[in-house]
Amino acid sequence: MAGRTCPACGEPAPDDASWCEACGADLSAEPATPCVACGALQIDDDGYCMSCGHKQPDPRDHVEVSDGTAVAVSDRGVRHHHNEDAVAVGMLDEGVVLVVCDGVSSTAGSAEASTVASAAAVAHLRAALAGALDEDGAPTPPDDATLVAALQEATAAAQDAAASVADGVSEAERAAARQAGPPSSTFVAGAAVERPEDGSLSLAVAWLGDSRAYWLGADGAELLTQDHEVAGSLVRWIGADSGRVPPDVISQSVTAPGRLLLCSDGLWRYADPASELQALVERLEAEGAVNDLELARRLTEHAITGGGHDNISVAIWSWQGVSAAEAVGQGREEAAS
Amino acid sequence: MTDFTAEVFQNEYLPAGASTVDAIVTVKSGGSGTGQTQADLVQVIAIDTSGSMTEEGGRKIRAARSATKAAVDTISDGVHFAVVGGNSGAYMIYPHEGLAVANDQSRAEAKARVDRVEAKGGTAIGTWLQAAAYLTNLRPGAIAHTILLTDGKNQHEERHVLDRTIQSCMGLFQCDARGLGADWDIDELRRVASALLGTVDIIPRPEDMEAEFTRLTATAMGRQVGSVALRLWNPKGSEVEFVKQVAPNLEDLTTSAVGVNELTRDYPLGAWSDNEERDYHLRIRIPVGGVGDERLAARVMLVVDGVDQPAALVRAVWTDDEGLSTRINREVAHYTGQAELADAIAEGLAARDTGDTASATVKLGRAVQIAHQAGNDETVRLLQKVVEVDDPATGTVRLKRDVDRTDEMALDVRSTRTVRVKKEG
Repeated sequence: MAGRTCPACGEPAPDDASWCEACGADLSAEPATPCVACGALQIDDDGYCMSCGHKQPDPRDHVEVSDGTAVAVSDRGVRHHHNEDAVAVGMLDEGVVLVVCDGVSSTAGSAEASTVASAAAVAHLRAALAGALDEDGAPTPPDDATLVAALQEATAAAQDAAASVADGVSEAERAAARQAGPPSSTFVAGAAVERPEDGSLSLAVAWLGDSRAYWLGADGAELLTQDHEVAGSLVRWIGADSGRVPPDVISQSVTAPGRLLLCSDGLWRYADPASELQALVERLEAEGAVNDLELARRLTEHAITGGGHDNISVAIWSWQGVSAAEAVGQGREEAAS
Repeated sequence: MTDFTAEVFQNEYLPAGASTVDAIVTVKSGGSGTGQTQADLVQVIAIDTSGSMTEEGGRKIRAARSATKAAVDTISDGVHFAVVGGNSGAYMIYPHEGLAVANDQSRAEAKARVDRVEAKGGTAIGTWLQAAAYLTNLRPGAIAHTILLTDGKNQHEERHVLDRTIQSCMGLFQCDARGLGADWDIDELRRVASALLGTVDIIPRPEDMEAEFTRLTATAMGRQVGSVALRLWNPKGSEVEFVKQVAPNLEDLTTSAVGVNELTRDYPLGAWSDNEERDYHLRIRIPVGGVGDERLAARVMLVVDGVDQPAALVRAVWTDDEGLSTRINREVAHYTGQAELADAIAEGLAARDTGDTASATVKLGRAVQIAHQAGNDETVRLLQKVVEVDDPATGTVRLKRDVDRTDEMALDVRSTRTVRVKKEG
């Protein structure tokens, strides 16, 4: 065996790696496992048990990724037989990037499209937002204009990646999806950068489709995106047939602590509007969701319990606010100058 | 090497608790491009020369002679062949002994001998098959084909003797059995053709024989692969309810299964030409899974001259979404209808024979209705010789009073011919 690949994003990974460097997925799980239904040891190349025929669970069915304090969970849900959603997260020196892509289940290859798109977007954002160093060797966080530009470029990178998947779809899959079109996905990317100088957090979100971003602040919940949907149909997306349609991008600044939460419609359709999502998060915390990964899992379970009509994906990063002392110090300096 | 492909048509979604999986598998052979077979072929022509062949002022035996000569002319150079005469025993017409190699000279000699064939004696079909088996065994490994012609019933041999002979010939050669006129027994020749992976048909008039013999021989000359088997893997605890060929004609293969291992069986499909296409209907009962589970119900492989070729998968996915599980697959529905059509004809003719006019009218009416809807134009034409069709859409028919016996037999023997699913237009 010449190395292995990450089951979540398909990127090559060293044999001894316990985390995927591309998407943050846990690679420590043992690869050779007996049939989940009957315990027989031989599984064929198509993923069926060679004794009882049971289809082994797809590692994509439930994916958890994390990087630092950024986490994301993606789950197949109940009604769909595959998970076409993809999530990716990445920490910056002074912030975070989160991406959620909801692969369109009616078109073949959408799982791969959403996966490569989310990975491409995070890779681009990390590179573009890795702050330049100032004269003293300290990182300087990107300004708001850089943040917005980076999100626009990351969307383009995601579009190109998703479009490239169409080339790999077989003739049979293409025929099956003749009416449906090429692989495609929604896209939402959020980036947040701390501004210690004034104790604020700069948020920017770019999106195409009906996956959403929320700011769940201590001072209230806010939906940051507006669905690109008309009469129940997507009107903007990423894929070979979307072209490089520009995303909608918003940016704003917050000062009160809170959570940046991105999700596919598989979650928000079970917790809408934003105030209800906020209430749900508070309830789950009260019930013992002690950290964001646990919170993401329980949000996913909430959608599954509600019926799980679609794939469910959620990415979360919490901001505690610039530490009080730091903020006070910064404030004095500014006052003095 | 001829490449084979298999394609599965099914609705893989099952409602909770269901265990029966239906699928149509279309098997296609590729083309080697030459059109000329490279294979080692054996062709045996076994013709009835019993006394009844002298009836109709000798028309039958004269037609048999010219049909056999036409078949001999169709045999390709280099093919090993023989012409066998049959009555209450079998005897060599050409060559004197063993097999001849086809060339201009041997074909001319064979035709000269055929011209001198006289008809006399009884009918013991089993002995003719034994002769074909003996000749085939002279070239082990060759792709062997026999044309068997009779105009009468197997009167000089017990049924169990014939059946034992048929069994001993299985896998040795493929046999197309033809009955001339109206005095032969459909069931007898059907048993021969089914077991020996060939076809059975009526030749209603002596003058039709020459074209039929030429066609059968030409097809045999195109055989590229002698031994193809459909290999099925099924999960533990499952049961193959049936495996049927459903196109170009119905043939139940279920009992022909040969075990490979605990979960795998082979169903012999006989010899294939290039660019052939045949459809198979599988019905498998598998252990029930939970909603959301997926199980492989069958892995379909083709074993071509002992070598495995790529697989197709028959799947089962349990769902509580009725929109998915109630969808009926077009191909499965079509061939289920074709099987019902064949049954309706067989039952209708049987009822008619016993004088049960009411049942016969209902069954044959239903047959007209299915054949009309599915586009079995040839079957509709055959049915119209037995019934007056008032309304094909509703299957309203009246039994005809005077029916030619050969028309009735043609309907019976061809009832298992199917048409493919109509292309969506």
